[in-house]
Amino acid sequence: MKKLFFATLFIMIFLVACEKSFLDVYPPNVVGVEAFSNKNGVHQLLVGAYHDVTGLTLSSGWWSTSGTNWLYGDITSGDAYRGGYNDGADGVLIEHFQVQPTTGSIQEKWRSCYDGVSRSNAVILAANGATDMTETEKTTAIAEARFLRAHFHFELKKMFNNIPFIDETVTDFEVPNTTDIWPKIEDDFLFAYENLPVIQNFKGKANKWAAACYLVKCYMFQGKFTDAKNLLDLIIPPTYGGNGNGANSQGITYSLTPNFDDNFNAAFENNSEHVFQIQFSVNDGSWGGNENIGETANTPAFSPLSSFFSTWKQPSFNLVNSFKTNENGLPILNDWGEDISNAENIVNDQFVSGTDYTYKTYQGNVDPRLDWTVGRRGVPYLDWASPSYYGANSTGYTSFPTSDPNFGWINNRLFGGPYTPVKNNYRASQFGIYSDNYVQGYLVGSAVNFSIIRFADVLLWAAECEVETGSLEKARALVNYVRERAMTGRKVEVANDQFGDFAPSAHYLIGLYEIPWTDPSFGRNLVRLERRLELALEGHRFFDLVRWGIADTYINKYLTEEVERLPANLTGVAFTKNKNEYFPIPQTEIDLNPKLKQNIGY
Amino acid sequence: MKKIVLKQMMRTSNIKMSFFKCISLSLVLNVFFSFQLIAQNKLTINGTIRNETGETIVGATILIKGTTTGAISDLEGNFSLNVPDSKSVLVISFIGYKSQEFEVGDKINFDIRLLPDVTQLGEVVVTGYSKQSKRDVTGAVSVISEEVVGRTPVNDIGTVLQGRVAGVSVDAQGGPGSISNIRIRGFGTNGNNDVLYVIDGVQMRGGSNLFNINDIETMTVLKDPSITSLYGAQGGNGVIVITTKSGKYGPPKLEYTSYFSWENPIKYPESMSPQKYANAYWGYLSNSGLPLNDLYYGSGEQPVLPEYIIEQRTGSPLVAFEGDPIADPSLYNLSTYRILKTNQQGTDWFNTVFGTAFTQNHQLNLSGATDKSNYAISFNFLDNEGVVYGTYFSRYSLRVNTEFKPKDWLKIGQNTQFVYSEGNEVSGGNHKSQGMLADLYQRSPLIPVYDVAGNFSGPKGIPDNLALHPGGNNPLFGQENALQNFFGFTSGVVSSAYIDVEPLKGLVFESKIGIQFYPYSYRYFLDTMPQNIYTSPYNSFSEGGGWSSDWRWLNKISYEITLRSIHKISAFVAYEAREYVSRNSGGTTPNLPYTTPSYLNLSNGSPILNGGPYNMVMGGSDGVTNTSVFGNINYGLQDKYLFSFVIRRDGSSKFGPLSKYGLFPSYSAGWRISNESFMTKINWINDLKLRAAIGTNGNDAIPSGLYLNQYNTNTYSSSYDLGGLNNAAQTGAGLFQIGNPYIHWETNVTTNIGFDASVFKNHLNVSFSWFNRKTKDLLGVPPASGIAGDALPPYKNIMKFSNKGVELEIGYKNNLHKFNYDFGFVFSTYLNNVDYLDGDPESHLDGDAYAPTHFSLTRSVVGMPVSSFFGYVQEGIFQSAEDYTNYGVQHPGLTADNANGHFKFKDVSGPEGVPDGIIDENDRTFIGSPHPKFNYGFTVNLNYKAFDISILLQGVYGNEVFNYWRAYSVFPGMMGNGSDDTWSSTNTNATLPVWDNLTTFDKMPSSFFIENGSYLRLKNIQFGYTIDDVPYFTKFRIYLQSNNLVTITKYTGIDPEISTGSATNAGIDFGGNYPIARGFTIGLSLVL
Repeated sequence: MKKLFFATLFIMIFLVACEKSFLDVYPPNVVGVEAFSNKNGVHQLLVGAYHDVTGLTLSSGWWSTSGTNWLYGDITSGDAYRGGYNDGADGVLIEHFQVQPTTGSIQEKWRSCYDGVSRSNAVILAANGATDMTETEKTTAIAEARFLRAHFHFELKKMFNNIPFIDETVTDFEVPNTTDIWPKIEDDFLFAYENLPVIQNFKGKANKWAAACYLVKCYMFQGKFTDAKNLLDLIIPPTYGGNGNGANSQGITYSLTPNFDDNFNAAFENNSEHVFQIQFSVNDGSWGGNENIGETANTPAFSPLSSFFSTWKQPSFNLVNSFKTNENGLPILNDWGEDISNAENIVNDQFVSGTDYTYKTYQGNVDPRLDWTVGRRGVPYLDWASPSYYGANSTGYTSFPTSDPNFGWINNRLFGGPYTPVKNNYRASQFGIYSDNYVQGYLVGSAVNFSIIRFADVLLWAAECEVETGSLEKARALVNYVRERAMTGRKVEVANDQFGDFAPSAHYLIGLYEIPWTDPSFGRNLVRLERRLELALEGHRFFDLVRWGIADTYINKYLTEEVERLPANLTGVAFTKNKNEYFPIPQTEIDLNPKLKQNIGY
Repeated sequence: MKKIVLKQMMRTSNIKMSFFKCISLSLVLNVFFSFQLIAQNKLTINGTIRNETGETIVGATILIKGTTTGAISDLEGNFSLNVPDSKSVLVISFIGYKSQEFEVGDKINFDIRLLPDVTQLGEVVVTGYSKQSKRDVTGAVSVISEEVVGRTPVNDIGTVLQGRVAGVSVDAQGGPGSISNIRIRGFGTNGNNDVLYVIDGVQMRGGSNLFNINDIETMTVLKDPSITSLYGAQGGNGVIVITTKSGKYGPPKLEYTSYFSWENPIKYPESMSPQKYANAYWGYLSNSGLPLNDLYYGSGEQPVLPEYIIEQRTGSPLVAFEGDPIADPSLYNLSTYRILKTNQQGTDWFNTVFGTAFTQNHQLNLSGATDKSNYAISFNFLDNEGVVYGTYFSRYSLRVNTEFKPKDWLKIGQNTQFVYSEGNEVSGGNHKSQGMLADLYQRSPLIPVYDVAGNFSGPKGIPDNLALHPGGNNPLFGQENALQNFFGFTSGVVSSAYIDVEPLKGLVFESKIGIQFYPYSYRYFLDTMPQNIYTSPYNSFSEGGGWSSDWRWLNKISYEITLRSIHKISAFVAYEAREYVSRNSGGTTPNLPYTTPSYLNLSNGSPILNGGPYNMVMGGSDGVTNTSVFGNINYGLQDKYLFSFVIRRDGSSKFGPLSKYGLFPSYSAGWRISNESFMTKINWINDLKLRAAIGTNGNDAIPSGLYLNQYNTNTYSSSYDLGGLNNAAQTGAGLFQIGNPYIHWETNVTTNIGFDASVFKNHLNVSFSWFNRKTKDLLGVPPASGIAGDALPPYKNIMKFSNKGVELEIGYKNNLHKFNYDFGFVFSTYLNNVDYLDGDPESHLDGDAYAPTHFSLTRSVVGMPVSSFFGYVQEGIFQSAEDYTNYGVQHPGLTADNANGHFKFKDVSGPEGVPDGIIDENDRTFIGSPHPKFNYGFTVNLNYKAFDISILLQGVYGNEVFNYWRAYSVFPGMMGNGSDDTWSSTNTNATLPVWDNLTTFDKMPSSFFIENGSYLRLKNIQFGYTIDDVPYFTKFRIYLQSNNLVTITKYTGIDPEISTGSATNAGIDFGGNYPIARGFTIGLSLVL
């Protein structure tokens, strides 16, 4: 009987244990898409999509995917070199126009931008499915997502030209790249322009006017000057000669900040000049995920800012020379308005020992924007010490002596020249506040925002439109707004150095264009030069040269001149017309998607 | 089966019959004699003979030692015998059991237990779900006995198996508390290749250093599907079934064993002297056309070694010479101004970090059994130091195994182990190109271990710099820091409890619950560490822990019957459910005002909200459920024809609704040809069985949830400062893993054909298997179009490969009087081939890509072995401009004018599939294989009276090693030291290329790094001395052993036995392996 009892018990256990739902366990380590089909989830996905504007995506190459585009827009344009060594790295290939379809960096950039696209699309899908959002909330979220989607496509478009457009309906990613996607990018920006509010709950969000400005940028890239001009008229406020209501995401009407350098100072960002910025931040619990990681290597080497061994974006002689001004504070021009400043190099310390105390900084006139853009010996670097200078004094930081002149703030001048970039770096007084306390290797990240579009940029587009389709005088006025701010704003303090016997670091002189412009070509040259000076090292220059159709002539001319000054880097370098205007479609991507067609020349 | 039935054995074969008849006859004669003896002696004894589980044994012989007098146990296992006197010694024996001898004494009733002799044919194969006599098994299995395990003083199952079991290859990872990678029959998957361990019915993947191997009674390696199919989706990588010691019939037995070992690393690389290094660097500058000018070495024709280096918090270091005021020790400041007196002779970092390691192990066993119960209790303490400073593993283990038989139809038992362990690993981890051990190759010999104030010197003296100055953290500091500031433990309870009910003879209901519960905890304090690369402005303290639990409930009905003495049938059906859950949590807090260890806890930190780090918390969890229904039928006809069928249906929550279940059948058959009548004439064959099996297994050892799109809120990749606050990011989310709802099991289909033979009076045993193991639906992650985004691409079932091979085990055992000897030889080989990959002949699957070139070193394509080495073919060094011109091809950066001294790479192919005169991606090809041609092992055991010697030789032949640590260390252009044989116009026979900055191409993965990985190792040699019945002890044994005494190899790295753990990086030496040590051990074993 007992035996029977046990046997029955066993059979019962057997049957009970066969419960089927036992296997329906949702993996607890997985957050699935269901978590986001609600208001809060949509916001989180949107934050995730905004994050990709930094360029730091999952397989990011830091510099290669940086939202600041220094690798593709600056070192390719004549404004900067890839400093450091001839280490065969992608940066050197890119600078030398030797980039191949197999070059890793371009694939990383491609993937990174499409990740932003994918994240933007995820927002749209989640918003469509959310049940706790009003129609307006949904539309706003979708408009923001479409703004971001357009931004990422724009990044791809300007680099690769022929790219597939991916919207939220795509599930099969074998999409061809043979259709021009400008209309789709414009559609997205237009939708954002029509549906986004002006005032956003967060400063970092894109608003109606950011979308309008980006739409203008699209027109500019397509040479649609009339469309651009009409829209600009709705953006630019009367103070700057327009009829518009353009305002930043806090509702503050667009205007140039009083000081040029306010745009490169974390303490003053999201100001009235802010159109759309990458909101870099530090010490925010992200382990460097939101710092300007892409330009961490673009700080002076072995300086108090960095113990990294190199500076990978070093301003060119050519760029520095173009900041020279004449007795009227105007650029050095010939009669056709062409920049001829490069006939003569300004005094520099390329071949001067760090312990040579007789070295004197260039004593001619320079545009004050130079020293907010380029670090050079004998001039305070923000509030840090003077670069490459033995025992230099500074406000707030005492430099230490270095026993080797070649180990000043620059590692290898033969390859990178004597200059360092300034705009992306934080100030000594902000160390630990706007610099990351989480140090990745030797690399210290900065919280200084990067402007994808700032109002000066918008004004100079307007000037360009006026040159091409409107009034040269209006163009001159627009350029003068930009110059005037540089003139009246703060300058780098040019204190004597500690020895007291030397001349001041620099003579700043900048003036306005007083004489009316009569020749469109003259005006065009001046507007383009102004863009260079104002927006130097902000990742735009190469793409401007390409859209103006002058990349080959301009860059090859620059190379011919510059190779004499920096033979170790530039010997044998040449730009190939009808090829190097765009980067090759990454080979891996073509392998994975046979519908992709390679760009001309590769 | 309550009795080991003699009748059955008598029917087995003619040979057996005649054999048995002989014995019977002699016994009858003995009995006859014994009657004669009775006449002289009145002492009559009687007793019962039982086996280890208490079942009576029919037909055991009981002999009076030194006579031919004896008896046979009857059908109840009873015997009765007259003996001359109380000093008579009885010898009890039965086939398949160890003989037992004892003095009669003044007892007249005996209850005698015989223990199975696993070295004989009667070996029992324990599958975890069933037991089978090895002679009836129709698959390939290998059994390792308690004796072998007991004589191997290690804490690692792999080390016990290495060289002793055919088809098992072992990568010894080294390092205290580490567990070897065991591979059965080559690689079965690109993912987790860990075998399944079944310890007293509790399954664990990949083994655990928490298990005390001194508790092992038997260990069975199941290699082919006839049995592994019982484990369905878990058994794809092979199964090792372990039974722990149970109490044996008799009074309580107390046993103590221990060993003490001293170990040293076998070999370390030589370092370059600081002056030689500086000279080489000068050569680099001059070859590169750079000025002879350097922060450390000055600017002159010859480099001058600085006498002092001053490390500062930021910026470049300073150098100084004796008498320079900047080197004045009074300026010293630990955080901002550390002064180092350079080591002109050179610091040998290896010598600094490595040393003699001492290990001790103590085991105490108490065991015994009665008719109704048995028990075994063991306590173990292991304290294992590593040869790397600061590494150790210590463990306390308590095991209690008990079994009770309240009724003769009811059995209840349990096996439980409690364990606690602590340890410290190499900082940065083993087996990595970035770990501390790999860093040792790159430390500048100029840097002293300590600075002038006696603190550890740091890396700041020599920035990590393309200017070829070796940099990095002070390796000794990292170890010391871990030792002082890192604490943690892992503990566990592993238990199985069962109840068996046998309502009818042969019908058994069994219910068994297996539980594993592992709580762990860690805490560590990180000071600001001013001398490290990663200097933090704040100290911080982290603490956390977690647990995992894994329960498994088995319910089984089995039935066993022999019909009309010719049909032997056994079968079972079972249902098993399992749930695994793990959770962990932890936190970090910065800015602790107190650093006294007792004040360190998470509530004492002070987070800085603006401009500093926050308190941080982290956590995670996982959970998996499985259900399985399975069954097995074995049928034996006349002990000649054996058939077995296994089927298992597994369900797993790891897979999506579309593929939750998998079905795993196997079929096998055996033919005991030696029982056929036509074999009766062949007397020298005692047993010969042919066997064949085909069956399937699965592998579900993949992360859970891969069928789903997975999002996360990783702050690094998804947060954003949307508010424009500069130091406060909002939480964002993003897709990080694309799911694949169609993902399903990886499946093995294995065919196994072989034979087991015992010949020459069972002295020689041979076991042979041929196998073909085809794995299909292997998971891989094919690269996905970037257009889909940057999330990890989905896993897909994309690959098929096969391992074909043979295994041979030969054992010979005999004796010359008191000299016993046995020899064992094992041999195995396999050929791996990728049969299918993603349906595309162009497809390939690459291994991980690492610095310095970020090219992967292995590639798998159809028609080649999986994970073959992939790279350029290096064909010497360019010696002249003509050489270059004639060669006609070269990689970027070189011309005929400057190519001298650089590597020549072969122009293998081009974009059109033919050599194109350009060395580029198209010229990468297959340059070697990590798969050996064969593995072998040779064991010798000799025993004369009290003395014994055992020797184990183990070897691998025909594999290659990708010696890639050279690219990090001795290779020109890298930050390393270790070789000065670089090319120059005066050293044209150099093995290494010239140092210059023209190209970094020389260090691309190439045949230059491929080396012969074959080796033969005297793994183990042991001398032992054993005596019985010494005062106070019934047994006393002492032995002396040496591990890894001799290794014969051509490999130039530290050790050819490379362990990388992952299938796609097999055979790559990244220099970070924990070195295998040479050790000496003294061991002791006492039975009270």
